[in-house]
Amino acid sequence: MSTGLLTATLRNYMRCLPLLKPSHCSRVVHCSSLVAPTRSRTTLFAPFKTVPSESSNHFQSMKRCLSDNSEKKTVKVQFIDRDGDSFIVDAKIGENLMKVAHQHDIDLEGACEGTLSCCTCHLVVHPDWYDQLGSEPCEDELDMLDMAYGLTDTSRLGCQVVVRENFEGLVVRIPPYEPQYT
Amino acid sequence: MWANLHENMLIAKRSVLCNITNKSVRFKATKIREGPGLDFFITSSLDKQSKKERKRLPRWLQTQIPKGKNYSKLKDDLRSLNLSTVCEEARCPNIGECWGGGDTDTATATIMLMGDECTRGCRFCSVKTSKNPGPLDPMEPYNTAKAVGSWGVDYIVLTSVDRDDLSDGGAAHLAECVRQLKIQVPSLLVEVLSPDFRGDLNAVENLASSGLDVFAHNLETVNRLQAFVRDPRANYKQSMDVLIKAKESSPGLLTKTSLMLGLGETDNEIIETMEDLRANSVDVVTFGQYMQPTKRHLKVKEYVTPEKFKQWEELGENMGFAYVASGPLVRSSYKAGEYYIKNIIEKQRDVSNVND
Repeated sequence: MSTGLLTATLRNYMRCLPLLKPSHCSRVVHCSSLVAPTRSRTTLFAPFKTVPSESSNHFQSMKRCLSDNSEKKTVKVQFIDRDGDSFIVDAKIGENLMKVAHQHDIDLEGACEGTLSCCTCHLVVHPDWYDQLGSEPCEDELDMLDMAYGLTDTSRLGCQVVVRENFEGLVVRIPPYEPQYT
Repeated sequence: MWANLHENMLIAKRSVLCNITNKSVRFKATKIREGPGLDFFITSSLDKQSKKERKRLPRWLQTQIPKGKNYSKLKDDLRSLNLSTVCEEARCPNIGECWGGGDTDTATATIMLMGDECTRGCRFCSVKTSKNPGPLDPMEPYNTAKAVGSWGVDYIVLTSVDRDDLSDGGAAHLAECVRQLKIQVPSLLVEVLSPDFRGDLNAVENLASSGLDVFAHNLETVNRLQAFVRDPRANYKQSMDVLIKAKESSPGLLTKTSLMLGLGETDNEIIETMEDLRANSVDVVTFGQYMQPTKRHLKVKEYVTPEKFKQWEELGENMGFAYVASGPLVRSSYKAGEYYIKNIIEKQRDVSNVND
């Protein structure tokens, strides 16, 4: 009886131990002055110069977050929102980036629910990642992208980019709004 | 003896339990003292965390859950006649009040024509978006007129989705709806909340001359935020041109527009917009609070207070608008405005009768 009780007590205690893994919203540099006056790619992603970069502290902290689990179901993806704030989230493999953003409460819209009828989930993919997404934008996606503000050479619709295993460390930016007066 | 034994066993059990509990409590206390502190969990991302959270709904925006006899009857009528309402599709917070009849027991619904799928995707609107919505229902003008006739309302608001897939944007269909209504219920006052028809001014003229009493088209927001809040196919100048053309096509027509507040606009921008509207002879403006319909849409930037809304109302009236409806829950077709506009139209009718 006492062994059983001890086990139960220890089990209860284990639950109270603080989680030692960093939270998924890790401490990341605030890119406060990240307003892009032009559609220059380097301005949009500064000060994250290139990804992946062995020398950056940022990349080191992301490496620490990797789990040993060989059957990876999620990968770490970084969203930079319109104000330049970064959020590193666990993106489920097979989910599209728009849904990932919604699941993690990132400020990205998705009016047409992924039916290629609007451009509200427009994302700018980091140039180093654009060719590794595993898909090219189709005609319909390009038509919608043509209408979006802040368009760049590496723009995609979030609902059309499906998370794959090689997306570990992907960086995407929600383009800051550029007013157009008529 | 047995009782004593039992009691002794209980005491023994309790002491063992106490020992274990005490040990584990002491162990726990040590661990807590030596373990990570509170600051471990409070990171510099606290601001971002609170930024990610939505603002809480202020008490002046809390509404009743829709229910009641009128509400259910309206819902059944609409379904049986295969009609959609923007009240349901856009999740209007006033649905309970308008459909329930409110204080005056006059149930009002704003019927959404040309289906429930819009070809545009605006960041504020939860109406379904589709590149290829279903074909128009040719019976819709007749069914709408029949439904409205059977309700016995004397003021109806018609609105529609954008149909960029149709060559005229659906203008002819909408005009026919208005004509059918006027045939079936001649005394009915009809307001149409119109799309912009991609700036096709012939289509605007077609609708504006169909016999309606109030032509409404929403600017939605100030010039600076148009491309952010609305679909890129919509813009400030195009919408203003629609309102100007409607007035030109039918000079006695009342023109109306609506603005959502709380999206990040400044006071100066709102004033500029109101000045533009007055300069283009728009008669009525309404102000309402933007409310995020789903998590796929824009977050609310600011909950504007009822007092501020009142200030906009006063300013609008001073600027010469025939009527200003302004309040957190006011929407373009909120029922309170209908009565007043009805008065204006009847006044205009009286004046023209006297002159004749």
